[in-house]
Amino acid sequence: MEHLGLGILILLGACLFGGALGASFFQWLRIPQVVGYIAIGLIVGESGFKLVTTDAIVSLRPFNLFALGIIGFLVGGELRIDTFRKYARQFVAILLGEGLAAFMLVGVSTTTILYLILHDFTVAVAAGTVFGAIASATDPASTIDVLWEYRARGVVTTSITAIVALDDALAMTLYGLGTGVAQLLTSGNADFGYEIWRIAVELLGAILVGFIFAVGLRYLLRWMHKPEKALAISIGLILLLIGIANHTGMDIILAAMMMGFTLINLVPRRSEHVFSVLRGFSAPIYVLFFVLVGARLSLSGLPLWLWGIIAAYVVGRSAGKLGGAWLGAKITGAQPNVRKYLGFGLFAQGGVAVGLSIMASQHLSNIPIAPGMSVGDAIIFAVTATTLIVQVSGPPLVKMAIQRSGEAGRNITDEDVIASSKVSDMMAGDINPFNESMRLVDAVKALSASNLDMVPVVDGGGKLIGTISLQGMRNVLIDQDTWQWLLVSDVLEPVPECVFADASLHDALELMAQVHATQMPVINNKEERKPEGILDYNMARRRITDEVIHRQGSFDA
Amino acid sequence: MALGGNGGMSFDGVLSEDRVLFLACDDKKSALQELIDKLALSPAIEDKAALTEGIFHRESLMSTGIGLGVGVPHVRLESVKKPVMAVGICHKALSDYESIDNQPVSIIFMIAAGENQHAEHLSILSALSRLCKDEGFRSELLAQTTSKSVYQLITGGKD
Repeated sequence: MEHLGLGILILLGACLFGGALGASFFQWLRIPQVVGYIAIGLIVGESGFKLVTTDAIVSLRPFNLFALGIIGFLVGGELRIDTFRKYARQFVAILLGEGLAAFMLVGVSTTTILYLILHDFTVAVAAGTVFGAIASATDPASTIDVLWEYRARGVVTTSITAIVALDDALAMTLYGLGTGVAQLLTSGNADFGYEIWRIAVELLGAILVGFIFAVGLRYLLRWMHKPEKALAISIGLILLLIGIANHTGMDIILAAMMMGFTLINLVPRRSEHVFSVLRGFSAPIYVLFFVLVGARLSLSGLPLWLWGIIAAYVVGRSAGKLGGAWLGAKITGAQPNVRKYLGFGLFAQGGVAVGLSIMASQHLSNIPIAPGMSVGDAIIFAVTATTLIVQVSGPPLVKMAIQRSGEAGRNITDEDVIASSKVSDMMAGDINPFNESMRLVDAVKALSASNLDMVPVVDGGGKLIGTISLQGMRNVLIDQDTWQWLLVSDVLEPVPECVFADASLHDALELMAQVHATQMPVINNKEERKPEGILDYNMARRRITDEVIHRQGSFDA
Repeated sequence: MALGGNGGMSFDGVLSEDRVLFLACDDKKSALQELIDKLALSPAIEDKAALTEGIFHRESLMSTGIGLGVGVPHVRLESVKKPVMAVGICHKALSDYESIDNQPVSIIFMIAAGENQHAEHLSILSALSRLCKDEGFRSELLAQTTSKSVYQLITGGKD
């Protein structure tokens, strides 16, 4: 690891720490955090102070593959088969619309510019076709990061997720055909049959392997009840999947996405906690991944004439994504919000585009485009520059799309409700505490009429001294004569734990879990100890669910 | 405490022979105080003041005269380690006991249990209630002249 310049741990620590700080700064500016990660990467990387060297970035390639696998798996976990069934026609139309429109517009515009500069139609078409194919891809990672950051939920969010998940496959197909065309045009020896076969193996192989791994994980999860063990086994399988996909030339993101997609749809309840734990675990992976994306981007030595290509690429791709998505949505009668805003959520460009450009630099390195520069070189330069532009402008546009469509902040979970609630919000407050001098015969009548199993008992000053429950009275219930002379104070049970009405619901539920209590008295404060209600675990859970549904409103309707 | 042949429950371990008193006083307060003094001698009672306060506080809420000439003063306290009982047989029935049937009280069972001995406490009270409904038992109890015979009668003949 000596060649890494900085020690690997210092490098990773600095990237994580800097990325997190950068994200906080950009969040403070109300710009998506992913822009902050990339900005820190730019500062420390090739375009900035070069603290992270090219060698270091190359050495960290396995980490990038791991990050792509985790991201793919989580994106796959966002997609439900019933959503696909419901919107299948719409998704396919929008996917083809935005992908093919970006492909066509970028392909035609870059071909035109290249022809005007080089006066070589064959080379111009070859390079333009590859540019167009790469332009059709959308980066799922940064897009999904924005959707999660702003807790988006709704049809636009679902559509963005589905399209970014699927259009990598489209981009790879177009790329395979594009490079085939490019090689055919420039040398005449491209084998189309082989290209189609190679793409089929890459895509279908990834889908098949991802499916098999998901089925395997499903069975393993049956025996793994502890979340930490389930997390370890899941990450282990994802790493194996990444290794196999990388070794056999299959698409890593697609394979991981298929694994996540299959798992969530095979065993939604059992796998939910795996995705939940993995999502929490993925935060530092995301930070590092994007810092390294920024660090990798190098704009030094960019020929001036390529800026025309870059401008045409950005404009053509943006127009294609916007127009194509609008057209696809319009044709399939999608909701107005989908027509209006979906295209803005598809600008981000990342891993797949950069990966394809690197592949293009190898595939097309023998096609000269200028003195000392091949088509491959031009593509890698241009895609690097456009990635920088759209990675900085794309996430804010995703944010705009979900905000304008009213979907930001809609992905409310139980945890959100718990975190923002007090005990008083979820307790049963309509209680009448029993006085300690109340006769048992009267207490049994009142308790039978109540829908609560437990009632607080107070002394003459109204202070909580215990609770009474039918379960606690079982020893005297059969001997009804005793009810006449026993008092509530004789049968009350002491209160080992109680909670305050203004305490956090999260802390209260944790306390109940710790002491294995299903009900707990709620008091106003430590000094007065006046009962305000009963916190019933099951009732609180029902109210939390109701609140989640209430906050999400009629959005899913 | 095990289920026994007398009243469905054996009180050995809860009652001891030395905690059976023949009371000569003629008022409720004195009777209760004598029983408290005796009960407090048990190693299970760690705080006599708390026992006194607890017993009289319970009486202030409602008299423990359960009818048929029986009183069952009782309390649960943190300072009590295990359920214990003292029995008082009054030579002269206490007319100021304020029983639910307004009859004077001749037999007093004083019980103290730990704060968390909820189930045991209620089991003892319930068993005593059942036992005292038996007129023969009450008459036999009042006819006894020694602590030992009272103890044997209540505990089902166990020494």
